[in-house]
Amino acid sequence: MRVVGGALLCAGAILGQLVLTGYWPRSANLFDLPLVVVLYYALDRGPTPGLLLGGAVGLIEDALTGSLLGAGAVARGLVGYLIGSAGTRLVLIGPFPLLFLAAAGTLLSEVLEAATLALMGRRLVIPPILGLLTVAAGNGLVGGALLALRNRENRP
Amino acid sequence: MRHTARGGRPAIHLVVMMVALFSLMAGQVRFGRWSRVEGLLLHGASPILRSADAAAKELHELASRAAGRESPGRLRELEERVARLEIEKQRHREQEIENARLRALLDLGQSLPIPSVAASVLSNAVQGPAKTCLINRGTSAGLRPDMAVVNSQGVVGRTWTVAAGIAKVQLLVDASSGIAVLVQRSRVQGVLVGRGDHLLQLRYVSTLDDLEPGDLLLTSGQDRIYPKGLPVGVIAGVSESVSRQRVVTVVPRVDFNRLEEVLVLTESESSAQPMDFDP
Repeated sequence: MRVVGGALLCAGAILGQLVLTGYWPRSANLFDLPLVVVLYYALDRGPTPGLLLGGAVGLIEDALTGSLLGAGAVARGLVGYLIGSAGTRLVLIGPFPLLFLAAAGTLLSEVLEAATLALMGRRLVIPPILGLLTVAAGNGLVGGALLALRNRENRP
Repeated sequence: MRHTARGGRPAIHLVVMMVALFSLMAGQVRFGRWSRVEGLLLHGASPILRSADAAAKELHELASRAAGRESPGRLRELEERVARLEIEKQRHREQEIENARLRALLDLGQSLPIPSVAASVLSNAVQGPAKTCLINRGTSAGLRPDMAVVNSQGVVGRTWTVAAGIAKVQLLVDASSGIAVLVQRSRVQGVLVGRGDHLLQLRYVSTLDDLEPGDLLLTSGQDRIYPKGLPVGVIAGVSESVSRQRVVTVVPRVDFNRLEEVLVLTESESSAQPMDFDP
């Protein structure tokens, strides 16, 4: 059941991002919905589910848009794992730590993907800093808001 | 957060997954692209892509309809009529632009001495680390990897992974893209590589070669992917690096942010003949 849920979430996130970028192309510069879903899922479920969902989302994104199958999966999977681990160790209350974690997860994912590609012999392409910070801030806002809502619902 | 470290030993799961993914990547690097695995994933994801494309079009339609439906009384009625006419006018303009674009593509298709297949762009990933786009034609239309993709402005890239009904195109600006070119004016040859941003760099040219900003670069046909004579880009700047190597920056002819329709050249072995591209 959890596998089906994860697969649906994965497909939904990618579909959502594709619809959004098809309707409003600039949204791709503002936030990355599949990554937000990975971060949210990892914080909510823990390191292993975060790793698996991140890996699955990354692998599909690699197949659709990537240059090396697996590079995005390594980055998203590792970020899912690390954020999931942080969620088990840290007490995250209020929107700001969540916003910070989502933004940090985004930056880490981009850096890890570029580093993985370079490690596998591809040319190191440093992503434009302004664009990277914009997506990190956008993901932080969207992810932070989602997680804060979730926390409020779970509060007794 | 409500969970604890569930699922047994997360660190072992991480190691297993990383080993699997790095093996997958090493396999691709060592033995070439695993187009079958990629093709299967691409084929599996194509319903998501097609649904996303249809949903985005539907959203556009709904938004244009909703734009003509507000405000009270007579004024509202008039405003509605004006809005509808505006939308109609906009749609006609859009159709005119589309017609012009398709006509240019059709003219190009007829002027090209090579058989070609027209395709629509489903999604365009120019923001990520890899610069690619997906088109709605695949093996069923006769496409194979490493076929040249062009539009009325010039060279777009080459087909990369091809599945039934869908194909991934590597754009010229991708960091791992390379194309053999020659300068139209001086006939100097070189290799044009993507920088991973929106520009290209001309390599394997000497400091003595005759290159000037504004020079047009055409495909030389040496790479056996792109037929000779297709416009690729224009030299934007020529400078020297600290190691006294020539740095030639090139602006691609194609606007990769506005790709909508493309032609895939289904045969690459062809000699130069004059082709009608947009100025």
